[in-house]
Amino acid sequence: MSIQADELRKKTYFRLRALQGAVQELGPRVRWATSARFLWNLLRSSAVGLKQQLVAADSNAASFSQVVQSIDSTTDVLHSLLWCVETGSAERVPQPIVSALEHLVSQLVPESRVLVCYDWSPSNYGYLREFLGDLTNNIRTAVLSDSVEEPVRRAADHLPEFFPVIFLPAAERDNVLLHAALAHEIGHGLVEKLGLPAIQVPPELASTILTLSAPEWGDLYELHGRWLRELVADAWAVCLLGPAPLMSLEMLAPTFGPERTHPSSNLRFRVMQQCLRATGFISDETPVTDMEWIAAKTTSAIELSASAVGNPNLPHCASARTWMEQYIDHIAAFVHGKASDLVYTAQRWEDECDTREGGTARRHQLVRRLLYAAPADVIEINGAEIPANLPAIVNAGWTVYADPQLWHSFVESFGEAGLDAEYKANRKLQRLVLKAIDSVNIQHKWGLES
Amino acid sequence: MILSAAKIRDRMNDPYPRKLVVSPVLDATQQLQSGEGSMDLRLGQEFMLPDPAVLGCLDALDEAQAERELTGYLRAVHVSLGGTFVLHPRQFALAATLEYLRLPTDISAHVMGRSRWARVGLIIAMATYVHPGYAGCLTLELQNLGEAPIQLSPGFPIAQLLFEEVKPPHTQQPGQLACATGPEFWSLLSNSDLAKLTDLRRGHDTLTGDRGWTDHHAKKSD
Repeated sequence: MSIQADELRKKTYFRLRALQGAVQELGPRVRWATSARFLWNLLRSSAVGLKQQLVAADSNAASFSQVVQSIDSTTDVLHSLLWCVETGSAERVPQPIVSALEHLVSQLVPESRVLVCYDWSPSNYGYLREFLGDLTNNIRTAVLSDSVEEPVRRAADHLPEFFPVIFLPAAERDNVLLHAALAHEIGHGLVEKLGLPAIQVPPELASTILTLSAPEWGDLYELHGRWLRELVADAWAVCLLGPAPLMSLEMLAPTFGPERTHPSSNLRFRVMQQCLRATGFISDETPVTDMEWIAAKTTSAIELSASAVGNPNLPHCASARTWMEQYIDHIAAFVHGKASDLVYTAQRWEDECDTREGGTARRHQLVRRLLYAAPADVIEINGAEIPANLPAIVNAGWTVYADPQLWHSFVESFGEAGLDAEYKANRKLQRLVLKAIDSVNIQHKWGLES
Repeated sequence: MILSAAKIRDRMNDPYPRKLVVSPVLDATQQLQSGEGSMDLRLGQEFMLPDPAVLGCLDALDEAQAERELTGYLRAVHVSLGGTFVLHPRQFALAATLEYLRLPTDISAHVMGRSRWARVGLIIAMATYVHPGYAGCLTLELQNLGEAPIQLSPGFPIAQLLFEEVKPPHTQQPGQLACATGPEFWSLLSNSDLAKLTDLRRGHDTLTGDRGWTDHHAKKSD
């Protein structure tokens, strides 16, 4: 079986298990909703049907897409139902990663608060601008008006800077590694607070690109307006967390098109790759790096998206490519200029470890801990253990999951084999990463410095 | 042989796979006092409270119950650092240690309560042995046998752990790497016992059910 088919098989299987878990969880709740009982039975039988399809399609990669589609639609119905039966689920949002991200962005936007709620659509991370942001601004504007008493105005001054609500897919709530995609949504908040770079599209280039693309794509300037926000949010995500958001977004396989909010995967990955290059995670000069797997994985995604019909970033258009490279550099430079002290670089990942006396690099220490079935929460520097930081933990988790050799040895350490064993190992990896983030948050609250 | 505090420190600094992992250690000086042969463990943030109203009785042989009803029987509660959790008299709750343990294969451990808690009637753990090679947070079985409610907070030093060397080293069993990060409610019986006892019960039910007699009558007629 090819690597791609194997990946798809793994992904499908994990989603099926997530669906089964959701049905299981739904059971006790819908007992009280008689109208939902019929639907629940239907969904349970759908899950059985999907499992049979998966078994039948084991050696046939082509039919996996059908299975994935069925799972998607079933999960959609399931989560709509969940939404009806249960509301107010925000307390179960995984807080450790949210508060760790909040700690990061508060260095850029002091007093910022990040609010995350569940979304019931599968694999859908989102950013809702017209919600709390506007509300807070309205309160602030109204309360700060001259007619209001001074003490009230002072209190309003201390209102926290809320980012508008960020949505996280409920079906993926235990998938901490995927939550690196939250950094992209938080990037939208930073775009709102810190602005966008001024980039003009040369008219002759716009007409060339529009000629190459399908006619229904319409006005490139209009597309550019929508896409630039997304690309800068991507750049912020990489700035905050390093390579992890790129891996999350690749896993989510975002779609693109003229009607979509997001630009092509090609362009998004190239922006993020350029940011990674600028921060030292990917190097053109170094033929073999520890992060080479990122380049390998994203190359396949780029090739796929580049072959799609109507993609304005077609690689054979040399002038477009040259311009795109400048465009990407501009975005990366803009973000790094805003956050030069905060930007997460490969050097930062390596710097604080003692490599002179046989010590191992920081990232390897964390990976080693995960392979030993321990949370990746501390690193050893000159014989003393200090708490690791969020980007290092999440990237260590991704390193274990995305590197085939490391992943194989991680699964093997649990002494089992097969897809179900991989699923269980995946759950354990997620737990170890979440525990590490939680542990570091606790140490931070306790007064131990990170 | 029970490990002294100095030996515990040494094992925590050992390379893999001899390394003893206890994490996070919020106050090493206090949790690992040099004169003692044990390590203090703190109370974690996750709790599970049983809700007897949703279950007739716990039946270890009822697979359907294990899959479906136990989910409702235990209610998960998360308490943030700085928050409180009140355990009322006679109340039972599952909790977990804040610390995650990864024992090497030549070290086992025993969880013990602390006298200060025992004297107010708080029982910490009933299943106290931790196998060599174990990975995960420890589940604590809290019960308040006292007369007054006890207010607990995550981060309280609640238990102590005695480490013991195992010779020769234990062979790592796959099931021991549970990687639990909160309290766990395990199945009550092992798979082989479950299958055997289920068969025996099924045979017994069929026998008494066909005749429409009680067990007592069946014995009499034989």
